[in-house]
Amino acid sequence: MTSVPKPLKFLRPHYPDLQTLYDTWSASEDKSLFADILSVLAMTYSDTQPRGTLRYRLFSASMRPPSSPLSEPGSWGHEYVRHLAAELGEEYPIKMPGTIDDLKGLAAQCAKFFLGHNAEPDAVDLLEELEMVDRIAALVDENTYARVCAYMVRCVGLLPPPDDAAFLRTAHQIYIQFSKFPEALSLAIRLNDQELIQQDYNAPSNPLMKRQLAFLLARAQVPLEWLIPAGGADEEEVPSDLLECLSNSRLSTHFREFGKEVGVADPKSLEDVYKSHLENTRTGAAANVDSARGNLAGTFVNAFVNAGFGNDKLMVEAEEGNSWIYKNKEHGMLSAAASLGLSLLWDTDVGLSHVDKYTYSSEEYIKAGALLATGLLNTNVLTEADAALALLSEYVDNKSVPLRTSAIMGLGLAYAGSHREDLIYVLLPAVADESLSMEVASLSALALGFVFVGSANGEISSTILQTLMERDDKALSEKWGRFMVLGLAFLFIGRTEASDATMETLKVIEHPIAKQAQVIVEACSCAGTGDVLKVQAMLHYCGEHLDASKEKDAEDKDENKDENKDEKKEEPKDDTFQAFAVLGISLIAMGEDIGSDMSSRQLNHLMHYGDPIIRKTVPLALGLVSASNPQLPILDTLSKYSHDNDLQVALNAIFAMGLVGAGTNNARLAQMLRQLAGYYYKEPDCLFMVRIAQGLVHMGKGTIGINPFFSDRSIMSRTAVAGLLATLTAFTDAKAFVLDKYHWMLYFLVTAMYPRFLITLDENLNNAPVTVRVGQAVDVVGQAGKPRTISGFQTHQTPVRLGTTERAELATEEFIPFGHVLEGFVILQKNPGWEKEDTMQA
Amino acid sequence: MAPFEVHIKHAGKVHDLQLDPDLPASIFKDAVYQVTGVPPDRMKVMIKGGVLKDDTDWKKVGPKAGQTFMVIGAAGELPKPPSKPIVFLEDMDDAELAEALAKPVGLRNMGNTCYMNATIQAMRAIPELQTALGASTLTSLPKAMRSLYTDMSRTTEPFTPMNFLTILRQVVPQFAEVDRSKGGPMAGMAGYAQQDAEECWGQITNALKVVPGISSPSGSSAGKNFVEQFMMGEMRRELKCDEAADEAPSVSTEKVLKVECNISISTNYMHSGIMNALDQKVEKNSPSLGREAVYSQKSRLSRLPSYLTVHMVRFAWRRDIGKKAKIMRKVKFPTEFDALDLVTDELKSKITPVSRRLKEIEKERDERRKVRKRTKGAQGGSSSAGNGKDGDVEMTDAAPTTAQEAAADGDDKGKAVESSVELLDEAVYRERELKELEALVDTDLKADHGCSVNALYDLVAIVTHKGAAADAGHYIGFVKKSVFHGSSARKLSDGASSSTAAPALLIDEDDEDWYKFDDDKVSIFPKEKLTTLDGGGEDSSAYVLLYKSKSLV
Repeated sequence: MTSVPKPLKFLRPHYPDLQTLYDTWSASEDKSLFADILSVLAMTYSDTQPRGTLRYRLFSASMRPPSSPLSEPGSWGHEYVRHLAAELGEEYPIKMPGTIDDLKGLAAQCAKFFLGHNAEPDAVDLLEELEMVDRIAALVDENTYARVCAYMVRCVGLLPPPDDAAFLRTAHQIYIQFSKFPEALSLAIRLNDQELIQQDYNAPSNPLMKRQLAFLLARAQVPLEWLIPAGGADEEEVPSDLLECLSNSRLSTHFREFGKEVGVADPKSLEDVYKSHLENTRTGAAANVDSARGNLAGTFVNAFVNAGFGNDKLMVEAEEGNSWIYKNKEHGMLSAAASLGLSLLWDTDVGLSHVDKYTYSSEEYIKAGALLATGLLNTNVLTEADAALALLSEYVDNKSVPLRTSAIMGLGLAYAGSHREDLIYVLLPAVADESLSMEVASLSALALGFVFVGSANGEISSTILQTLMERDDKALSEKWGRFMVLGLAFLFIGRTEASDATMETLKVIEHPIAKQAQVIVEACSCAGTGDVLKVQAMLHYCGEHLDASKEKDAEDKDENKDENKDEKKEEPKDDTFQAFAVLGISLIAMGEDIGSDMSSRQLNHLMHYGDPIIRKTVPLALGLVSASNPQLPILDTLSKYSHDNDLQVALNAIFAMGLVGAGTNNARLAQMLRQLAGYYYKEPDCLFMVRIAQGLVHMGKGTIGINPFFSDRSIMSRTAVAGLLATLTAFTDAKAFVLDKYHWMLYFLVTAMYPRFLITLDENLNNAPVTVRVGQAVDVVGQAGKPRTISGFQTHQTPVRLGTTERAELATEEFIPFGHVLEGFVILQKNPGWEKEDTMQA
Repeated sequence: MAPFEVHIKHAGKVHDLQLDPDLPASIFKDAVYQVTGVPPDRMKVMIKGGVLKDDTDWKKVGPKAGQTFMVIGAAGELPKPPSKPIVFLEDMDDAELAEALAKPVGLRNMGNTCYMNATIQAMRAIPELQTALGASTLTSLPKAMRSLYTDMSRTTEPFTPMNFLTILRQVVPQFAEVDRSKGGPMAGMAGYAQQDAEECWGQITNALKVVPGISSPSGSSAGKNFVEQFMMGEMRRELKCDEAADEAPSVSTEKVLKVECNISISTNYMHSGIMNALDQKVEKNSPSLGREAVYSQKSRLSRLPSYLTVHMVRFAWRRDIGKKAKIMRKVKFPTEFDALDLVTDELKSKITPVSRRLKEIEKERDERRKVRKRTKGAQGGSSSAGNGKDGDVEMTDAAPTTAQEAAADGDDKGKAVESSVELLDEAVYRERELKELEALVDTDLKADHGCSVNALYDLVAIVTHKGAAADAGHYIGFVKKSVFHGSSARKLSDGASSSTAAPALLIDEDDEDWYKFDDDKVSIFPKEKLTTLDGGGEDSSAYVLLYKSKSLV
């Protein structure tokens, strides 16, 4: 009652009497005013007579003639409006006097008041509670829209399904209203709405802005077909420079320049990474014999560390006849040849020719590796000539399994996220063909999953479902089955609404693989939503103790042993779905800080009480939830797990340490890994994994990260999630895949690999060095005033590298950036109103 | 259609070419070959929907003037596999693996044979023995020993020395003694009894006396056998009667295979224990006094062998309990032992100059090593700085620090250059020192191949005993790691040029770790933990120590 006129305060003791008096009055305009006063007085009685303010307000409004509506609630002051808003929220949807429309009208009035008085979050909350958040678009003005949108976007992670999309759409509408195209486009990408993306892309008329949007779209791997309808006539209209931005073809050149700029252009040797002189191992004489295992690890380390620079000493610039390939055995050669693809990542000009040499090799594994390399180096970039498809499609039907699978996966990775229809005809037949081995069929499904990630493509999903129904049980029980269902799940990444039909179909399939599929499809469709209910569902899957139930069954059915036998055969394989469920927890929770913290704690519980399969997967889930984001608690936990008695747990924990530190050069983590190298020097498997983790930590010499979230950690890259998930799936049974012949599966990470830089460009897309401040990102949403968005910043000249949790801002106002987030490529334009500081002094 | 201009893009470069759509595609490929150097059969020209084939009809492709084709293919030769296929660790059989890794193997325990296992392993620390065993004419035990050592170097699995054991038991029947004290279920096939490793050591050494000696480089000292050359010392005992001062001391010399270290209540160090054993009081009938008198016996070594065996007399017959008991006392033993106090005055005068000089030189070597390590570190640092700030892209360190770093690096580099100018190759120094020392060596000693010329010893092998009782417990052998790899380096240098030997030697010096041979389990034993073998409890305590004379190089 602060802003209420003093006379009214004297009425407070008489409120009960006034209420009885009010009831005796007959309806009139005076009674309406009386009700208005009572409404204000009711504020002081809200604990004994709830919602009195709202009730009298509604009475009052109902008695006014339409010609002279009641005065704005704001005229009674801020406190009154807040009270009213709170009661509105409580009241809805219970009806009091009047209709829902009355309530909504009143809410709109309140919201308007809030917006005008620096209380944007209150306005959004009120409208959300009355399910009318879309109306806010009409209420905001240019002073408030930014804060409103920021608050709304931040809320999305905490809202249950239909509301989150509604929030995004409303925010998008507001941004469009104020011509904030990059912001709008990034929301459209989050919504994965083809129409909105196309609209936003075509909206701006400024060619520079269009290029900026093109950079954003290229980063998000939005299919080109969405922007340019396949009409053919339109195709020529796309200017070449725009196409260049869209197809990311400059990525390689810029990345290498960036590397030179920050002084990491020189290749690193294995020893630079291992730093084994710091290890306190007491191995015997330093063996000058080649160990195939050690060299294989070296292959991956070299590939990851020198990725994208195309100048590593082992492969690309190896001396004649001394290529590292030949220091590997058989399937090791495949991975070694494929490592070329990583080393020459994104460099389609030189890289393809370089890799091409190896396709003439007489060694089948080298040839297969070269095919995979072709696919790898085309990841995230598009070439005009469609080289990958032209080069690889002829091998898709090859008789040799290594050649075939490499070509298939090469295509899958090269066109990840492109939604290219023509690839359906290339890859889909292999999925359906029952005469083919499960390996080929599953990898084809997986490749399709990569290409059509998040598309909910009906043709592919129905074919995979068909296969799951028709294949015989034995084939489905093979270890490859999990990749088939993973392929299916990829189609639904981030498509909560589209997965229902598939889920229903899966329930019909009897084979245990259907359960795996259900879990992973459910998890993928909610990936990154932070949906608590889904996390609970996943936890429920994990809570089933299969062994215990089996024992109970065994006791119950002791008499008929035949049944028992059947069960025992199947049951051990049955628990793969739990591995997926564990991954599902972090898959759903990732990308949102509070959710990921909570999930870490849940995973901790699982580690204590879970079955072996769950314990084995928990480290992987931790790796997923904070990929490329080495926070101390996570590192400590993983370090603990890496000494687990169960070597499988330790192995996965070591790999997870690699994931968590990927591309960070984190010194503490590097030290931990060196210690592990000493600890496990007698365990070849663990040592192999330690080496790989070391390679990951120094990925791209500290310039490439694998965190799937970009644009200020707001947009989830579906291809990156797919890549991470595919790699982790290979680790759910490491002995059968990564430690066996399929170590090339580590290259699945390539879709998630992306440089973490900020490069500023001028109008002609040339590097424009400016000073920027880089610091830890601070969440300022909903805070009053204009707080700093970064803390502990340092000033650098662009191009700069940005950590996962870092944010950059321009140090001066000399330039105006086109992008809303300073990340990746940002085009700058000179600020016409800017004057140099010293001129002002003079 | 008339020919028109098109572009081709190859390896990042764009070339202009004439394309005549009426001619076959192979002609165009040839033209591409002219500009790029990519052989047509390995050339891939990207066209819409695939690769240009030799028989592709241009009409279907529909090229346009000014169109850009992408050409894939590498000029030059295809990568060739290396001429020699690489052999992997995983593919090697045991023998190759053993050679490649040079990791010594363990010996299986065949029932109370740890005393033998430990002894054999410790004896392996005498590389000269291996050489001597190579002699062709050998019998029984030495032959068995030779085959045992060769077998051990050919495998990576623990070895079962069955053959050797059988022969050992034939040659020395006391080791075939059967333990009858324990009846029980094993009574029918009673196991062999535990034996004393020191006895085993002594017996094997004795048996090795048939092994011929190694002729020295100068060709002398033939006739002596191996044990006499390398393991046997000469003890000069002087008996002097304390009670009859005028009685002339009697002097005797005897050959000794070991130096004993008596452990009394006041013994804390091996050195004092040895001195205690050398200077003893004995009661003996004095011819001059005609009665029992106290004599002081002063023993000194008049010849020091290259390999000095020190026996800790830990097992003593206790009259009061009528049992052999173990003395648990903690006796510290040095890893570097100066035996100058143990020798006769005559020998001392011969040895002292070398010994003193060698000690000085050792100090200098240490200095050099330190300097070298420092410069190496600096060089490493500067080279990594050359690698672009050690790949550190963490851009927290802004420009000023980097400048500082660079400056510091520059300094270091400067220093490194200086010191590398100062320091020549270690081998040069070594050669110089060797010459100097050799000049100091007494000629008599030089002629005696296998003796120690400097009285300075390094500890190379230990046999320890664990447990409280004399006839029970467990023996473990410890051998210095560098002994093995030093010998392998030497082996290498035999075949290859001698230049490789020097760096190998240098590496060995840094490696101060030990191998622990606990029967079939072989593990690395850090040097720092050697002091835990001093004794003082039931845990492993040193029993037989093998010292090797420091080499002059």
